[in-house]
Amino acid sequence: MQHRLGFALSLIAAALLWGPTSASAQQEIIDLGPGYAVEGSRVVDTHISTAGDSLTIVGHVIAFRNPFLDLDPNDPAKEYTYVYRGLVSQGTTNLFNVIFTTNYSGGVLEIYCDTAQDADFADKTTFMNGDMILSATLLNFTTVTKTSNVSGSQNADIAFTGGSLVNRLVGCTSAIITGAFSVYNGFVPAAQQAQGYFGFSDTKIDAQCPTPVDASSWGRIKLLHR
Amino acid sequence: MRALRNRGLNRGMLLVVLACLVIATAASADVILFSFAGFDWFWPTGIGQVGSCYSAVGYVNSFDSTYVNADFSTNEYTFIIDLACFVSADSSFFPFVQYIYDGSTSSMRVYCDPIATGTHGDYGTNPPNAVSPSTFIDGDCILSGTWNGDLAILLDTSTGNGDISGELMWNGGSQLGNIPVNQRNMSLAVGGVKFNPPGGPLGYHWQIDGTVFIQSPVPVEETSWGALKRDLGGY
Repeated sequence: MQHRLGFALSLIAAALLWGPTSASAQQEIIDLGPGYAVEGSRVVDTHISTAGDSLTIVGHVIAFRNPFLDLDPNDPAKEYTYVYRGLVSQGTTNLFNVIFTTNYSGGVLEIYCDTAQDADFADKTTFMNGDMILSATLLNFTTVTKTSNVSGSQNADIAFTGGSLVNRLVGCTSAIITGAFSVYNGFVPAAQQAQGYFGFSDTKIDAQCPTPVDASSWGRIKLLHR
Repeated sequence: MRALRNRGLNRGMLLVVLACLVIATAASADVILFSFAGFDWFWPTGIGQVGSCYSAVGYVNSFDSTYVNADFSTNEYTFIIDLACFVSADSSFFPFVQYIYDGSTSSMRVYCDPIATGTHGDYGTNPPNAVSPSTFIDGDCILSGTWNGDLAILLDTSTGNGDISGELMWNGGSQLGNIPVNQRNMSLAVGGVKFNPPGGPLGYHWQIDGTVFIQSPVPVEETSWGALKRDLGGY
């Protein structure tokens, strides 16, 4: 009896162990590669954002990971692009004219798959055509830039809301944006500066998503423990 | 240079020096060499503590094909920033704190590992561990660089957001030859970081995502010594 009870308890323990291992640690799911930012009349090397101006960032997706491993950003027959848009500047606070923090309200992130490789920084709408595979609302979107060196950061929390592949993210939590942001003129090519871009962005999306699990039965679990 | 000073600058030498200055002035823009993303850690003690060293590993997800021949369909590309050790912390801009880590003990390297026969990069937990950084530094080292000076980390302690930056000199790796000699130095590496990612790999400190730039090719204009002398006001 004691042996049977012990065996039953070990099965319960095994089942409990099975559960937590089905949820992986937070990992990169999409790498939003280098992109360029436009905001009102802001130009490179300008750390101050005018409150009320709207920020847009466009660029190419450069890597997909679980649960999008079947998507190839280098597929010559497709083009994967992203756009951050609708971000309204709340103005910039600065510390001793060295560190500049700009918070934005609202905003969405959209990722598109297009069969035509037509994205052109001269026309931001070319980054927003094709099949919208993901869309997300942005929260706590913040950029930090500095006069002390050319580096800076861009961070946000995100909530996935739509797109043709959003169902792959069911159960994913703790989604965030992390990456680099800079207004250094050397990081924005002259051609893009002439097109109105003032900033450089390179970010990724991380989320904690469930790991696919094999369906099983108590019988199979018992077999595993014999 | 000492010989130049001792003997005095003759006209020819001055022209060479001025020509070099012109070239150096022209090299002000940057081009993207590669983009990277991953996780980092401090070891054996925490950030800002004497004796702590900073490392990061992850994936390189795009290269400029001008400088690196990459095939993402057959290879995995990974990077490491290894063991830059603590120098100082400055909280003059609180809630921002700037940490300086010694670049002389560190390097940044990029590896190419075949997907079919190599070992997939695995973060594991509590690095350094049995799989990290080892699975990120196997395969062919295609680029390696040493830091010119220190790594600077700026952290907003009120949000956990921050950035890291440093300047590299690319001086090794199987694809170094693709980068012209005059573009290998003063390469800027910048990355954004996010502290304490909820649910991130246990024992890692920040998310990191960033870009490495190199100086753009220097545009040159063919000229003659005569034209150069005229441009310099007949000196």
